[in-house]
Amino acid sequence: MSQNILIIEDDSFLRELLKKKLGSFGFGVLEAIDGDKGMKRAREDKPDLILLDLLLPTTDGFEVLSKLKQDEATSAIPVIILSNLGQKEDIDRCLTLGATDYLIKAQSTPDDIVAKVITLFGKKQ
Amino acid sequence: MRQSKKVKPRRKGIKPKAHSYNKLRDAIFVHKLKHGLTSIKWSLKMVLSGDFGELNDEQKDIVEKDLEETERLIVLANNLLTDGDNAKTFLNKNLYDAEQIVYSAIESCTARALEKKIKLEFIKPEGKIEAFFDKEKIKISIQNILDNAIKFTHEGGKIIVSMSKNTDNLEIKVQDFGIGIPEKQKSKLFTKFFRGTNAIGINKEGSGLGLFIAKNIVHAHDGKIWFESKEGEGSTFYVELPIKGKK
Repeated sequence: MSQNILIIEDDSFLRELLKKKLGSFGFGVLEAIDGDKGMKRAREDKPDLILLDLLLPTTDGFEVLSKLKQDEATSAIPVIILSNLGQKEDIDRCLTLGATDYLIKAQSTPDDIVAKVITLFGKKQ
Repeated sequence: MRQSKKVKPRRKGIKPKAHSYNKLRDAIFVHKLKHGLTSIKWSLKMVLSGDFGELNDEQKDIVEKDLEETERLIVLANNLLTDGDNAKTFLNKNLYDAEQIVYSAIESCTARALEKKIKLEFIKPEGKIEAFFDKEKIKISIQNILDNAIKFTHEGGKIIVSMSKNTDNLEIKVQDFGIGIPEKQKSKLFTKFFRGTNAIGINKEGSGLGLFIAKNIVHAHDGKIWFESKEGEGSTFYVELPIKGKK
C-alpha cells in the first residue's frame, strides 16, 4: 500500500515538480493550494505525511501547523516544513509547534526532500 | 579580514520607521528572488536527473552550468540583505578533495581569463588534501577571488593558484601580478557593494558583492581570508580553512 503525502504549497510550479518527483518514487500525492484547504484535506484524507509551506494564502503555515497539531484527528501526522524563510526564529518556532523537520527550499532539491521523506517513513516502521 | 564596525550615534529627528520599511521592502524583494531561483534550481535538477527524459552529454553539460549559475545567484541573494538579517550562510558540509574543488573553480573562470589572454596557472599540492566543507560555497568563494584577480590584471598577464596544508588547516593562495589595490581602498575590500575604481578593460559585471560573499562563506567555515597587495605589482589573496571543521 503506497503512502500518501499531502503537499500544502501555493506555487503551482513547485507543487507540480514535487508531485512528479514523489510520484516517481511510488508515493501518492494530495495537493492543497492554501492553508484552509490544506487543513481540510488533512482532516478528511488523513495523509501519512504533510509537506507544508509557510507563506500561504488564507491561513499561514505557522497557524496551519499549530492547528494540525492541536487537532486530535491530525496531530499524529508528521509535518515537514518547506520554506525559504531561513531565520533561526522561524525554524525554532516550527520545531516547537511540532514540525518533524524544516527544509529551506533554495538550499534543497526535490531529491533531498524525497530522501527526508523516505528516512522519516523508515523510522516510523 | 575582520574590520571594526563604526557605530554612528543616532541623530535626533531621524525616524526609525523609514529604515525598517526599507529593510522590509528589501527582505520581501530578496524572498521573491529566492522563490524564483528555487523554481529554476528544482526544475533543472530534475531535468538533469532524467525526470523529463534522458539527456545527451552536451545537454547535461549545459544544464549543469545553468545549475551552477543558479547556485551563485542564490548565494548572492542570501548575501544581499543587511548584515544580521537573513545573511546567515547555510552550509552543506561534507568531506571533499579540496584540490578538485579549486580546480573546478579555476575551470569556470577560464573563459573570462581567455578573453583577456590571461594565463591561469594551478600549482597542485603535494599529496591529497581532504577537508570538511561545503563544496559549492567554497567553489563560489574561489571563483569570486579569481574573478577579481582577472579584472585587475592586464591583458596577457598571469594568475597563479596554489594550495598547501598543515595539520589543522588548508591554505589556498591566488596571486596576480596586476595593478594591485590602492592603500585607501584596502580597508573597504571585503565590504558590501564596494567596487574598485581601477578595473582594467570593460567592467561589465561587478556587483561589489564578490569578496563580501567570499568573506562570509569563509568565516561561516571558521576560516580566514586576507590579502597582501602593492599598487603596480599585484595582489595575493589567501583563504585558510580548517581541515576538520564542525558540522
